[in-house]
Amino acid sequence: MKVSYYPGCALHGTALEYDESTRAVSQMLEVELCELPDWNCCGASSAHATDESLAEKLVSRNLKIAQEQGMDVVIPCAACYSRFKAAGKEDRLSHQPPAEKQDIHILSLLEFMSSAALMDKIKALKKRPLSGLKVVCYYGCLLVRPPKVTGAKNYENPEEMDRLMTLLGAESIPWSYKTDCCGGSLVISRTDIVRRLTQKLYDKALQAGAEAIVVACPLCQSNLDSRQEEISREAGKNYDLPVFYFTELIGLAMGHRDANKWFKRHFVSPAKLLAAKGLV
Amino acid sequence: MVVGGGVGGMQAALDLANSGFKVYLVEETTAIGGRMAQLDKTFPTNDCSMCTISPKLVETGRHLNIQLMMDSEVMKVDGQAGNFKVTVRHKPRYIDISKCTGCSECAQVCPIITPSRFDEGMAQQRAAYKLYPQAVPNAYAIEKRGIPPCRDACPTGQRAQGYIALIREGRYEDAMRVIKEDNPFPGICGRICNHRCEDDCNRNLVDQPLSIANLKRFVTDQVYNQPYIPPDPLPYQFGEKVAIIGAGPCGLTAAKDLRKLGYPITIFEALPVAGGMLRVGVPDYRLPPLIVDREVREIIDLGIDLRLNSPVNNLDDVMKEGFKAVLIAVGAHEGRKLPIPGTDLPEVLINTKFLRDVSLINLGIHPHPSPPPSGGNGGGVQSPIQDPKADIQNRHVLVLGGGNVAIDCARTAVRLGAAKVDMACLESREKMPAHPDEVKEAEEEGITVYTSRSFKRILDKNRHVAGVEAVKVTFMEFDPEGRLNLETEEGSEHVLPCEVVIFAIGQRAGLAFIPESAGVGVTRMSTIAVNPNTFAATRPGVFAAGDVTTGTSYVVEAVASGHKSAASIHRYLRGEELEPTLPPELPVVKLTKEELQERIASGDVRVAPRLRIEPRPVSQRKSSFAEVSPGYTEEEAKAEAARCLACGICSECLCCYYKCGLSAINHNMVETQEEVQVGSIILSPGYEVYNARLSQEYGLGRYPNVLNALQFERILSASGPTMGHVKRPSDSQLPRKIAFLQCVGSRDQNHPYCSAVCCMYATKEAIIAKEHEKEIQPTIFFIDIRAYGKGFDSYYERAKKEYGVRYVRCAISRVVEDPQTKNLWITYIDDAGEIKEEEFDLVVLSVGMVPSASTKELAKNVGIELDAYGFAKTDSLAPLATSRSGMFVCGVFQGPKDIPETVAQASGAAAAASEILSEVRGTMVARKEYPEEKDVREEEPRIGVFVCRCGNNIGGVVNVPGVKDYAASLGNVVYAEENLYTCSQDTQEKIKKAVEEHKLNRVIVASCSPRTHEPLFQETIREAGLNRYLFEMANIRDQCSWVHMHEKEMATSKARDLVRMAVANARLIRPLEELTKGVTKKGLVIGGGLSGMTAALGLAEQGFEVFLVEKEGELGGNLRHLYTTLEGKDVQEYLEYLKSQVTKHPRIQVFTNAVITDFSGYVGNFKTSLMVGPRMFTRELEHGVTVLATGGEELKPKEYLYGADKRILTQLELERNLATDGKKADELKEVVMIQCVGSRNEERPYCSRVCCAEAVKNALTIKSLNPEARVVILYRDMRMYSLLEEHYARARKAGVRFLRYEEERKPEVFIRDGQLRVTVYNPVLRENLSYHPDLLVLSAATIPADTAELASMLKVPRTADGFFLEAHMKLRPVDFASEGIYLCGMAHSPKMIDESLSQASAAVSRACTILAKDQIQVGGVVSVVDPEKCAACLTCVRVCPYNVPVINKEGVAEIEVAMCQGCGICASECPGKAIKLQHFTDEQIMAKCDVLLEVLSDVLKGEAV
Repeated sequence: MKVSYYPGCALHGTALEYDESTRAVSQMLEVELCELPDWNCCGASSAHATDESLAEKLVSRNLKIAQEQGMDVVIPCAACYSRFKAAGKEDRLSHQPPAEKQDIHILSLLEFMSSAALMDKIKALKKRPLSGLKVVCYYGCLLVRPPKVTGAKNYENPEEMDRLMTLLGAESIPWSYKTDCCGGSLVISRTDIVRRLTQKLYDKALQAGAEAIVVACPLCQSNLDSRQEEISREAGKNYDLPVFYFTELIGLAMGHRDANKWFKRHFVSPAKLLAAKGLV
Repeated sequence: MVVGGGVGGMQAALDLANSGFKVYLVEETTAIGGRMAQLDKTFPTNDCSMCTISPKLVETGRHLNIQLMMDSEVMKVDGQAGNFKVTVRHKPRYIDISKCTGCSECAQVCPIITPSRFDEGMAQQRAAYKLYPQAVPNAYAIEKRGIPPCRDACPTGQRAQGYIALIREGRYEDAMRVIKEDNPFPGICGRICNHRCEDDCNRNLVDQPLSIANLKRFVTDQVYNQPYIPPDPLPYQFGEKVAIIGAGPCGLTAAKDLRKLGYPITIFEALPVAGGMLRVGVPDYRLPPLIVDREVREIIDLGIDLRLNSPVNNLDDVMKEGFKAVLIAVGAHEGRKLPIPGTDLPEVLINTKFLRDVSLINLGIHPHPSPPPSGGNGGGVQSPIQDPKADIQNRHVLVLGGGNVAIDCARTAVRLGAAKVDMACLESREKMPAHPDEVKEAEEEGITVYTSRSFKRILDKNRHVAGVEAVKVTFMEFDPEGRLNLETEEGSEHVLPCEVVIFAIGQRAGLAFIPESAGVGVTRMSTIAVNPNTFAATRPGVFAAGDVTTGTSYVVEAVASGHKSAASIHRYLRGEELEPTLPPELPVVKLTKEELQERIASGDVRVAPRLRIEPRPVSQRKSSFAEVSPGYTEEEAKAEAARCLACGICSECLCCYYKCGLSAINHNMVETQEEVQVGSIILSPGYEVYNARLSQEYGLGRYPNVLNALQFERILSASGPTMGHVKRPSDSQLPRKIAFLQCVGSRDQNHPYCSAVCCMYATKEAIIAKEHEKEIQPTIFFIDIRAYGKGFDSYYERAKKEYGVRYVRCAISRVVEDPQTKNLWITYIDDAGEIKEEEFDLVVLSVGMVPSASTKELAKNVGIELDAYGFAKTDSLAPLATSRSGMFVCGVFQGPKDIPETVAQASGAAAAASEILSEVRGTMVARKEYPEEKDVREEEPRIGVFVCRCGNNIGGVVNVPGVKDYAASLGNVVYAEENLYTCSQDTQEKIKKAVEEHKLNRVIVASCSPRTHEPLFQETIREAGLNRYLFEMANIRDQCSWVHMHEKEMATSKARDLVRMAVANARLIRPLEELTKGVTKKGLVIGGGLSGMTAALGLAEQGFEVFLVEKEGELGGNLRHLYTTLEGKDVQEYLEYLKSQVTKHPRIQVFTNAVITDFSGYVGNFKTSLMVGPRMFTRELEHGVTVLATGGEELKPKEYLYGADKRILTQLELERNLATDGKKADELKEVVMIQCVGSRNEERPYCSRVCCAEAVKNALTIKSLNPEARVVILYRDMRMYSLLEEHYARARKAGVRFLRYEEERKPEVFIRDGQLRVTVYNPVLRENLSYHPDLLVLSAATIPADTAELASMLKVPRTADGFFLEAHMKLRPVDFASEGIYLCGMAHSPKMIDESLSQASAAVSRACTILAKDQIQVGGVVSVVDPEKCAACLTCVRVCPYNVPVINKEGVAEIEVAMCQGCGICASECPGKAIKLQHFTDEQIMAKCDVLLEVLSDVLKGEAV
């Protein structure tokens, strides 16, 4: 299977392990990721907040490349995905028919990986079930919402990631905060708000009995992963919750040899947890 | 025809039937009663819902002229109004309603558990079920969804789901019965079947399939542990002898079936033992011989002639013996060798013979050297027995073949002590036909498997085997003809070392006994040619089945073909068409992942893999033929059985069928269609509650402690899943803090209407919860409280003030669960504007009403239009008429509404439906003719007692024969008998006969409850010529056997006492006379407004004369002040039309300027005196019914400077201005409207209901005339209920501003410098706002007309607010307690035009139930006064709730028989004992008490019990 791949800036920078695990897992699943040639910024960070027209043009160009490639485009970053979907719904500036009408689909990486066909493959290739690993799945704000943009059916209680985790043998604990905001878009301007929002997520995850959080967005991951030390210091508690990309856990369960390399990039090291579960 | 059996449908049907029409009531479920039956209490009176509805259920169910069509749907309607042809589909119920007595025994034995619908999934019910205890018809039904995939996959159609459920219940004998009906070899199939059932199990979608084969084996282990009791030989039904050749699974199955049908059967078996391959082909370690022997024996013991060692050498010999049919079922017992060199070496063995010899030797049959009998080889198994052990022991064995038989050979060789055993086969590992588990177990036992090999030759070393030369296979495939395509690798020749070779490459039938001359065709594959449907061979009378027709196959296939061939032989012998006719089959139930996910989420299904059985350790296995698998323990089996998803719901295990003593169960019922002709149709299909799982933010289905309101209603109900104890689902603890979230599925983007009832039901549920447990603290989160109905606002105020229900005005966006406590967190904004988070123990979602999918289907089928939401499209001036003439609608299908409005609409629809048929009234109704009543007054009581067993319900607890004998011993009892079901139809005939034969003049039935059955038995004795009051009942079931189930002796003693009391009473009961009175077929309508005119016109159109009395000079009432409706209809035009219709109608006499001066009489015979202006002459009217439509009017406000300035108007004044001089609107810049002026205050604590809509209407009119004008509506709650909501939305969209004010801080109005000023405190902004409007419009209260005098004249009650008070808030909304008097319109309470129209029609319908009769029956159970004893103390006059007793001219109390309701209050209160209630006299009660006390003293003396 071949698909277009739009990594976005994060996966070439802060979220390198997300990119690597995605590529590794795809290879094992016999999926060829064709990175869009000469892709540009999706406009999620500043353009869409400052210049509507620029924001749309940025996506339009990317979409045009994707259309030329003629394959469904898979997007690992929730923010990029949201921008693509919004523009794909109605390509107002170019007056082009929306991308989705031109037979290519815009898919989040999670949506793609949780398709029945790939789930079956993952099941078949699973070597090391993540037995005993208790996680909560965190989808964040943009992956499924707003439903008008994403078209998601279960936007209040998405379950794709939970199903993947269950498939991998982990225990995916239901909780009420799957789509709460982590404050990712305010990381620079309003860290006070971000700290409050993320701390709440840590608390609720721990209350639910989770040992780690699983995410499908580089902004969520870096936000949730990198703030624990600081919040621990302020709150006088000790937060030590590994935050995994779901692709990392797929790779781990399928026995990819690079898994440990990916985890080394995390702020909160999952080494102890994984060792305790006999997974490294 | 009425479609839908809820409260609306029942009311419509009853009204129609009672006014002279035959009614078909079509209901899609198994019982009538609808949603109301599910409710616990009703608002605003907190009456028990079931108590109020159940008399209606009984009346509907028993009505002579209502034909119930249960489980039915309307498919098509042809024709037109007055003459419709309706196609109705009847779904199979599987229980014959006419035979079922509702005894519940089928449900008691049904092993299938499924979530209860009536309890909204919170309790469980059986597949055989009655919807609820009081259900009408009182008959059970069986729920089937289809064929479970396990059954579908099995060639024998094994009802696995059924026996699995029975295992779960520990009923192993029943389970065995179920299995054996499909398959006589469960012990065998439980071990060696290839269990395709498991492959298709829906559980595969969740975790793992049920371990069906092991469960089957478990049952046999349980049952076969018991000593064998041979069955009684079966009787013969037919003379034709049938021969069966071969005692294998196929032949034995056919033999059993044919023997059960009653044929004499002979089985010819070549071997010294029966069982075929099962006995000599499957090694003992897989299938213990004891099992085979037991199962074979059970068949033979039915009375079958089994001839062992009897090979058939020639088919003709058999035919000559006089057999009329022969079944060849010899199997495939001839092993095959490959045509390669070396197969003739002595160490080359063949699978079948090898295994057979081992088995026979294990059985103790020793090798005998005699040669095969000459002339044939019947069954192909007649070769001498040799002991293979000698060949095998300490040798290296190679088995050629990759199937299960090859594995059997190899593992047998291991057990015989071979030095080494290998296997080699053609197939690759993946394609090996052997079961993977078998291969695994073989390898565990040290067997090496060489796959993908082809064999060239067997190496010969001095005439002994010295190995097999093989080549590697690169490709292999069998083509459809069965030919092998093979590619091998060149140069890959190699030798597989061995000393013994066993060929296990397949087997075929030995057909030597069928020479060509036999006339039985044989195929190229060496099988017998048969028709696959009939199993008939080419020679008439000869049939063949099993492996002999197919080649080697599985046991189940043999069993299946045994069944089918037996059935075919039966048809052949009976001379029937040989091809089978198959009954229509139900669909196979394929569950979807989504459905299963939902069931997992709801807790109905738990994810759990199958319970594994560890095989015995290899070390034990290798040296013995003991069984490898130890099987399930009882505990494991039950746990595994509990995993079953019960896909088909009913499994057709037939437990109910065998249990039912009335043969009411028929699992072969199929769907049927029927055509009926009707004149008009009323649709009342009701609604569904919104599926709040779709609003995922609230977590219904995900969080256990979030419920929908209907579920909570069931929790509050004493008959609900928690018996009325308030418990939350997660931990069964009392929830202290309960949150109600309003508008779930209402007033949202997908449902832009208000569901009209949720504010009140949430209030009710909060109050009732609080009444159950004081500690409960309910909070209701709402947008507007819509307490707009009669008595609603005071109910709401009481909830707040008396019960402490907290109301928080905030729409809630989500519910969050605490993972540990399962408590729920809700975030809201409080009154002070602060964001608050609060924890609750339970959240109840006030779900809205949505039209169900089946309703949409119905609309399509009958051809009527729906509105955008799926409700029936109607017109505000014709609210009951659908888009198709002759079809009417009522209830929620017309738009969300509560019960009284539904009931009123139902009656109204009945009037509309009968109006067009008024000419044929009374032509189709059935009337019952009775024999003349015997006069028994002078006779000595001769009592007959009928004691009921009620199946096991009473009979299983109470010693019924004992009670019967006891009854017979009591004084005056001349006859006593016991019955299995006293209420069944044949028993009624028995009772009648007994009355005749034994000259009975009193009848007692000791059984269930008079609540459900007294009318039936009264009817029976009336048919026997006895007065219906000569009946008495003793409740020995509900109040005895059911409650004392575990104390049988005590229960028997109590039953005796109850019977004794009944006998004491029966001695004293007297026949009661019922009088008939004529009916004056005329009606009087008081009030000439919209309601009065509509009622008058309705009655006149029904064919009755009407007097219409109006106090004013002209007709029209309030309608004169209205100009348009919210929907834009011209009201004045309609008024003119209505007036002209009324005034020119030949049957209507209108009196204007008329005052009522006197009123007397009773139902059917009223007299009214009038003074008619202007000349004030007197008129006296006689009429049978009276309708009050006295209306109401707009209050002239005293507040907000009304009257001080002409810019301050009421809404009606504004409406007139806008309608008559619309131009003035152009000058308006700002208009302020104030709601609730004079309503919802201390003086008038009710909501005037119409003012919100009136204000929105006028605001929209202003906006349409002058879009620039600013319109501000100051309100407390916008009560735009039901479909009015869309106009509220329309007004907001048009720019009308809605600002809330609080009751405590009302708007202030003053005039400064000639300018109008309004200031108001806004609680949201928490600021004062001020306006300078051009107009201030006051939404003034609606007040009732002054009816004090009229009310006292008619002796009808009024509410504190001055509106008339109906007989019952819910179910009799237009009736007064005094019969024959009705009310409608604003006289009842403020209402909208369409509501008044519905009510007026309802009053017509109710009135018609009287006017349609020529006579009415009065008397019976009524109070009578003994004038001698009366002291005229007025006690009775005061206490009678119906105002019946009066002090007459003689100065004593008089009770009019026609008016008395028989409640007995006067009799109990009368201090002089001058009043007695007939049939319940003091003497009777005392007599009962006396014997009860005798009983008590007996107990004290220790004599009884």
